[in-house]
Amino acid sequence: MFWIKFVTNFLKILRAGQTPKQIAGAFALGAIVGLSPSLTLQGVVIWLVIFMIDVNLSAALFAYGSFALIAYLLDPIFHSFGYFLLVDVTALHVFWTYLYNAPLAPLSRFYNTVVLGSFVSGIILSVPVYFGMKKFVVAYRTHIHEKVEKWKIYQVLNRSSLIQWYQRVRSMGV
Amino acid sequence: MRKKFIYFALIPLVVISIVVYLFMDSWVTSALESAGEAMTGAKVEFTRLSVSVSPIGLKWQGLQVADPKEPMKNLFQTGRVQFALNFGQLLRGKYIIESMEVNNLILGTKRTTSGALPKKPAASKPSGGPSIFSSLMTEASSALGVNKLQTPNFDIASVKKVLNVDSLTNPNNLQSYRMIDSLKGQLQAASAQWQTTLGEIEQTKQKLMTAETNIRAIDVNQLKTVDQIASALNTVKDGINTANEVKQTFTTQETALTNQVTSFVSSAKAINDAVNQDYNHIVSLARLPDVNMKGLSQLVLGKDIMATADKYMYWIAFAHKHIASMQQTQKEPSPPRLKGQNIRFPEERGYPKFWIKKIVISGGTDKSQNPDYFYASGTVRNITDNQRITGQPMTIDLLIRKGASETLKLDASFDRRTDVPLDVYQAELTGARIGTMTLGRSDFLPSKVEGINAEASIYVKVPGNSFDSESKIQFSNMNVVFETQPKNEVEHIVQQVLQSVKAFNVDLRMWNAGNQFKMAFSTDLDNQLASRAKAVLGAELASFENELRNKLNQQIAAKEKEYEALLAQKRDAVMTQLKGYDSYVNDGIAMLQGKQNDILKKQQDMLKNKANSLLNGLFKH
Repeated sequence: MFWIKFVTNFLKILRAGQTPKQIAGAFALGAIVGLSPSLTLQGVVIWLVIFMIDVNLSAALFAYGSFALIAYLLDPIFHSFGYFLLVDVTALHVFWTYLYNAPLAPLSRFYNTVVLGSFVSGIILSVPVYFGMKKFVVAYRTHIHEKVEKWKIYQVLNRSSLIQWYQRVRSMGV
Repeated sequence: MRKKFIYFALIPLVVISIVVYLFMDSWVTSALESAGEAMTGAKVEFTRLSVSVSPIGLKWQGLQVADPKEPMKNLFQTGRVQFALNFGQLLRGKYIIESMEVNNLILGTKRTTSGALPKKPAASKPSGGPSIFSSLMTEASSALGVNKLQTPNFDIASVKKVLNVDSLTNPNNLQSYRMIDSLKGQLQAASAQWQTTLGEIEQTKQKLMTAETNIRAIDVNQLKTVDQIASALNTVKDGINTANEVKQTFTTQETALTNQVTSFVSSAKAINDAVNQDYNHIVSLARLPDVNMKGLSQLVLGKDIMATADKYMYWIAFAHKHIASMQQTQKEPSPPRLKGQNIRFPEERGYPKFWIKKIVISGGTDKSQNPDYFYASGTVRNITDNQRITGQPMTIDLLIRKGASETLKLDASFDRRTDVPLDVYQAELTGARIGTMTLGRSDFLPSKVEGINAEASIYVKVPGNSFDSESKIQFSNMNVVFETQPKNEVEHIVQQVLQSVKAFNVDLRMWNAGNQFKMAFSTDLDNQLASRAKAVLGAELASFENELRNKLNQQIAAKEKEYEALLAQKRDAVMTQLKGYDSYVNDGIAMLQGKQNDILKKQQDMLKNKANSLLNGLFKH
């Protein structure tokens, strides 16, 4: 049930509501935490940012879930990238050593190849994701939405008695 | 900032923080008390414990840890204690305390309520003591013989009255008597075997006789031709070969028989050893005292010393077990995704998981100190779960005072830096007033020593599972009070000596080598007792011991003679027969060799005659 609601909500926010910037920003932040494994300091900070600033939560959650799935496949690449940054780039060693001995930095687990690789990848990817998503939302609202509404799957999802019953129950405040 | 965040995240967070702040003290108190109780097996109670946030740390106004062995007493109690945790290391999950301040540490204080924990239905493992030392006290008691040591009977007259010498020297109870019987049986069996061997020798002798008969039949004068001589020579050579074979067989069997006979002769000597053992056994049954009085003071002092040793060894074992257990490393939970690789960078300072660098203990400075309690002051350093990282062993340097004059200086170190843990204790006790100390046992010299002072030097080393302790104790100012009148002369002597003795020394060493526990106990009290006891009891004891010895010798002598006679008979029979065979074989061989010589001479004569007749014939022509 949850995922159906999740997808319909996402389609709904693409269609109307918050601005493309808010949706794209949430999506980019969700992508960063989605790519990073386990609970880390930077993950908590990004979640706090998501909750505090006025970005779209559904978009952030959607991005988090989607990118977490992709991250499983990309972990070997993240490991190689992280290893490259931590070991092969000797110029960074002084910086890493400083962080390693700093009070809070170890909570970020930056010294782990997968954590660092995925986080840096997430930061880098967040820029194209942000702009790409922003353009996509604008395009969706102007052109794509009309086409999507004609899709059978969209109609099935939207008119599903199950969905309607779920929305009715939700509206009752249970 | 979005409003929903304030309502659903920020406000709950603040509420939770307030609740945690309000109840944190009681939660931490409860957790620490539970952990302490699990460790000691008795009640642990904090007074006004509070958690401070900046700097992050703990503080309490009092702590009482009950003694699991004496619940109405505390092991120790403290006054105000405070310490701060290193915040930077706490973020890394490490508990580092630079300095802890412990005020008014007092040992052995009385409690108003019992410190015993309610009994759990399920059997739980004892918290302290056991591990490598679990059997130490049992072994120590056994080595010292406190429990099973039989009191020697010093009243010779009563021993004579009660003692049934005939019963003690009853042949059925004597090992030497049974040994002689056994030897006789073995001799009879061996004798039968010897006869069989002699029978076999007799059979070989027949072969020699046949050869002899054949050769005797040869008449050298009847040998006329070369062929006859050659045939006779062959017969004689065969006979000599047969005789040599017989000789060899005989020699082998003779050696075996002689050895067996010799072994029986030497086993007769072992009877003397058995007689000595019987004598010692009879003396122990009679519980005659050692005139040297060796071990008498062990009997007098052993119980009290063992009780004291037991008390302190429990805590040595406790420390050994619990400090070792701190080294266990925690397994890191594995993350659900690809683990990656943790890259280590140089650390400015490596820290273990837990480390109290220094505890400063003060025993209080107030003038109204209770003279019955022990007030401790000093420092404890480097309590940690991993000494390999800190590079320092845990050390204790304490000065414990009781009253005005009694002090105990305790230095201890617990080294876990190498594979074999090493605990070392060194204690110096001065001016201790023991008060009343019980001596003796209910069956021997029950007594009390009053007003005794003690000074002691104790050194204990516990490397791995080994143990070595050396104690030197000086008792002084003693005044012995006997609970009963002396029952015999020696008790009277011991009473007199102990009453005149005002000071004595005790050296006690306990150690284990491999799996064996060893103990050495010595005191100069023995010498004082021995010199007096020897003078009175020596002659009487010697006379009684001679009486026992003579009775025993009498019992054994007849039996021993029987055996010796039997042995002589069997031995002579065998040796005579062997001698006969020996001379017969040698004679036979000599005869055969004589006959061979005769035939050879005949052969030479015949050849000479033949040559002469041929030469004469040549000259005639």
